[in-house]
This record gives sequence, structure tokens and C-alpha cells, in this order.
Amino acid sequence: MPLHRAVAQVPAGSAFTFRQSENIRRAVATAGAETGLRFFVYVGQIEGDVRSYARRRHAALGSAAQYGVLIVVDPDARLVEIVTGQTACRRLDDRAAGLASLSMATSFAGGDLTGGIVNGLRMMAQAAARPPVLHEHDDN
Amino acid sequence: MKSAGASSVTVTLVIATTRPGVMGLMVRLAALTATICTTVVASAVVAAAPAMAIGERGTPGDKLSTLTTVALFVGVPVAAAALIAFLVFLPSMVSGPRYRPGRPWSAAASWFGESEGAGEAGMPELTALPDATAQGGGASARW
Repeated sequence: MPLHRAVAQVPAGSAFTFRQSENIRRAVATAGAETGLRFFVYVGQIEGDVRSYARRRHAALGSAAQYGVLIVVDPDARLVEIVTGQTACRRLDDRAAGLASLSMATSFAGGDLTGGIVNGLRMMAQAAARPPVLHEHDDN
Repeated sequence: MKSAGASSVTVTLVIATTRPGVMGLMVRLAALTATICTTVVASAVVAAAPAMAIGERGTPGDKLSTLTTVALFVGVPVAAAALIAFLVFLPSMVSGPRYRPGRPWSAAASWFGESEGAGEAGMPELTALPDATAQGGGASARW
């Protein structure tokens, strides 16, 4: 018991080891390349309403918000939020996002943050994947 | 060109050695039999080592002093236990704090993906959500 207490009191440090961050970074890049959407992951403590924080953070993505999918994980509040942009949500509908969020929450409940995030990204990429459309992002 | 040839030779070698066949099976069986025989004979010889000393002559040595006895029968087991305990806790010491559901979370926030737009610094300036976010969707889950 005293050992666990010592672990919990470790001052702010990185939540992930180098290899874990590398795995998540690769999953983010792969999901983005497979779907053409932009994926972002935030893991950290949030003060106040997590949903409203996630939506404001998504809005702060600027031009990337339209195609952006933001995943916010608050391990302290034990809450995961997925926010999809206006165009992104046509390809990744709420049902697919809900399924991914449930799968992630299941992994998080087992203490596996990295595995949950990587699997959730993979599920969302699979749901949103489709044959590439040429000149889709062109203005005219 | 040369390296390509060398790698192709390696590949064929690997294929040749990994292909399951009667020859491979026999070789594996022979290796297994040899290993078992060697192990049985060697352990028997090692176990019988004290018996071989029966006929030997010489001084049997002095009595162990109290200090040596304590060091041998207490110090060595304690040192062994400490070493094992250290090896058990080493992985968690190296990997740092781990997330445990239900325990407080104190690690610094992490962001993955390119840093786009204003980021966290631009959040207070947002008065209303733009359409790109407001017309979007999403989901959430608890654990």
C-alpha cells in the first residue's frame, strides 16, 4: 500500500513512456493518412466540464477543425470525449464515434491508456475509410 | 548487385533450414535426445560429487565461527531475497508512474497530432463555437 501511495504522489511527469508516445503518434498519423481526416489526441486533467472543454479545444484547431477529430481523455474524471468537425462527422458518424469511445473506455478501465487510444484510432480510421476522392479538398 | 545476391543466398538458406521435412525432424529428434541424455548424466554426476569425497584424506577444516555462520545462513538468503525483490520492482521503477483506474492522475497533459490553430492559448478568446465545430458531432464514454 505505501508503495502505491508513493507512485500516486509522483509529481507531474510525462504520462507515457517514449515507446507508448511513439505508438500513439504512429496511430494518429496512420489514421490521418488512411482517412484524410485530421486526428488529435489530448490526455490530461481538465477542470470543469469535459465536453465543453473538448468542443472549445476543437474549435481552437482553427482551419483544421472542419476535418478534425479530437479525442480528449481525462483519466482523473474517467471520461473520454470525441469531437468531430462538420465535414469529419459525415464520414465518421456519431454511431461509429460512440462505438470507438466505448471500446476505448473498456481499455482505460483495465488501466491500458495507450492500447485504448491506439485501438480507438484504428476503429475510427476503419469506420471513416473509403476510396479516395480526388481533388476533394480543392476550393473549386 | 553483390549484396542482392548475398541476401538471396541467405533467404534460400533460411528457407532450406526452416522447411519441415523428414530430415529436419530427425535432426531435431537427435538434438533433443542428446540434450536429455547430457542433462541426466550431468545432474547425476553433480549430485554424486559429495559421495566421491568419501575416500579422500586430509584435514576436515575448523569449525565455522559465529560470524561466518551468520553470514552464510542469514546474510546470503537475505541478500538473495533483496536481489529478487529489486529485480521484481525494476520494471515499474523504469517505466515510471502507471495509470491505475480510480487513483488520482497527476501526470502532465499530452497532445498528439500536429499543433494546429491557436491551441490551448486561443481558447479563452473563443466567444462562440464556429460552424466547423458546432455543426459537427461526437460521442463520449465513461469508465
